[in-house]
Amino acid sequence: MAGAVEQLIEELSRLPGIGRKTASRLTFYLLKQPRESASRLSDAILQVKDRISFCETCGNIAEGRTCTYCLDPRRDESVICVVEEPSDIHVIEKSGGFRGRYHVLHGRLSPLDGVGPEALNVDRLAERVRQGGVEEVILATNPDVEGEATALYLRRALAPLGVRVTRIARGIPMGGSLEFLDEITVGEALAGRREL
Amino acid sequence: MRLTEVRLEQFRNLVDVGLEVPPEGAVLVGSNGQGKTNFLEAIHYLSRFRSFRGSAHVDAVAFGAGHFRIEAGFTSDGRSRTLAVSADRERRRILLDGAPIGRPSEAAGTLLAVSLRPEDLELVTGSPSARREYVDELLGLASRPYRRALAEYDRVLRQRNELLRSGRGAAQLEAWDESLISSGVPIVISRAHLVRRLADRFARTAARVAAEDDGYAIAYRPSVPVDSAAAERESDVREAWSRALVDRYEVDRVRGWTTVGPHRDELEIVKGGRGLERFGSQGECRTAAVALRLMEAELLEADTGRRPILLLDDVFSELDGGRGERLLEWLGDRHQRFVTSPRPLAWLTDGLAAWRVSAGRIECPAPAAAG
Repeated sequence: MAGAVEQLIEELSRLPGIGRKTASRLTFYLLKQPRESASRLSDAILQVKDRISFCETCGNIAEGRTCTYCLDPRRDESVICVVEEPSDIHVIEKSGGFRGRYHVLHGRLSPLDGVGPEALNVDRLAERVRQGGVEEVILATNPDVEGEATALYLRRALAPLGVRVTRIARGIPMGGSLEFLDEITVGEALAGRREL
Repeated sequence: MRLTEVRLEQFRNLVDVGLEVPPEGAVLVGSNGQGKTNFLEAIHYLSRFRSFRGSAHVDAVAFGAGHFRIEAGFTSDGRSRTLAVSADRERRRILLDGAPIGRPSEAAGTLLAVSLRPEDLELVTGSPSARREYVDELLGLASRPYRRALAEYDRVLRQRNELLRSGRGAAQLEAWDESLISSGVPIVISRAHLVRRLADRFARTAARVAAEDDGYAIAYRPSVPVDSAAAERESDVREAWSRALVDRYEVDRVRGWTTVGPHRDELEIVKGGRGLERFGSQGECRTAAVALRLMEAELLEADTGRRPILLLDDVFSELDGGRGERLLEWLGDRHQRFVTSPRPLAWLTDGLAAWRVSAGRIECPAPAAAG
């Protein structure tokens, strides 16, 4: 195969979720597109790298030194919601149920992947809490083994700072009928019940 | 629960078998290597969606064929149902009453079967992991949360072991310890509860098979240092385990793996106070193995209200003296049963149809006069 084609397949197949088969399909699709369409794509990729960086306060993606959530004066500074990745913020924002600030860890603890606390954006979180004005830290890491361990680690790390630390609930989705839920979800929802 | 018909295609050496099944079951008679055990394996596969030989499903495809298919009609709670599974190198399809099933776990246990095999001796004389697997399968069949707890615990354990090996985990160790305990506590409690429920039953069953009341017993020996009563109390397990993790930290760190937790539990099987794993005679160990399997059947029946089918693979030639006859007599005709035997023993075939198995073909002679 021609060198340039092979190289593009190679580069694309490095992206998450893309195998060689998909990469070669994308490559041959791009090959058939007009030059300007390919140029728009390559520009967009470069723009992301050149213009977007990480917020100095919370670690979210930002155009400039601070992200839009940290700049927005209407958002509640006393609550920080901690997430694993910037994409998680998008999900929480869509829910419309949160008006506080965020903090992005850029990963989660996983010794098997060689990820320890020093690789995560943790020190900055402690610093933000220490600066004062923060009353609650909500831990919204994923409800899997690594996400739970990360939450437990953060709870311990934040404990000496005297801030209230909470964990997002696991349970029954809205509009879900009990009948169709598996027993694990129902069990967790029962364990996490609250007073009405 | 009773099978009414069975169809097999390309399942090991059973290339094309179609049978109507009598309600009481059948004895499969034939020399070794003719396909008797393969028939039992096929029924077992429909019940658990995995082989009792521990092999991958593609290995069960007949030599030179591309796929296998097992299909059965059966009655359960007075309903007529069908269950079919077909598999090739790529994928496996399960049809329950003609409708496709996404995940095997959704249909596992629809057809209940319990196998008794010569290899069960391993349960008693083999390593502790064989007995943990036995306990886990009993608990897992009835409970999806238990299966998930096992998977979660295994993942946390691998993370913690990696942390110990890497030698630079002090900062996050406590978080992983807490995760380990949280995911492992339900496993300890479930196992302790199960073994307590089963202990009397086991003693009774073993005594009956052996025709002697010689103190057969099982006991749960958790790796977390608590006695079996405390092992059912969450706070006791948590406390003892976190103390043990601290005490054993140096040992764990040097070895590079976690030395205390349910992955090191033992199900102890004794007779008259002696551990059978090391001190049992062949006959005693066989008796205990049979009792464990019969208990599996009783437990499934108690939990589901349905009576499992029994698959008895060459069990009677392995049991000495009158144990085989007593076992069969005790089983009576409560369960539908399929028994393999190299010879058509009169006491064995009494009341059961005798099927001749030869080179992958199963022949059913005309039904004998009712008796």
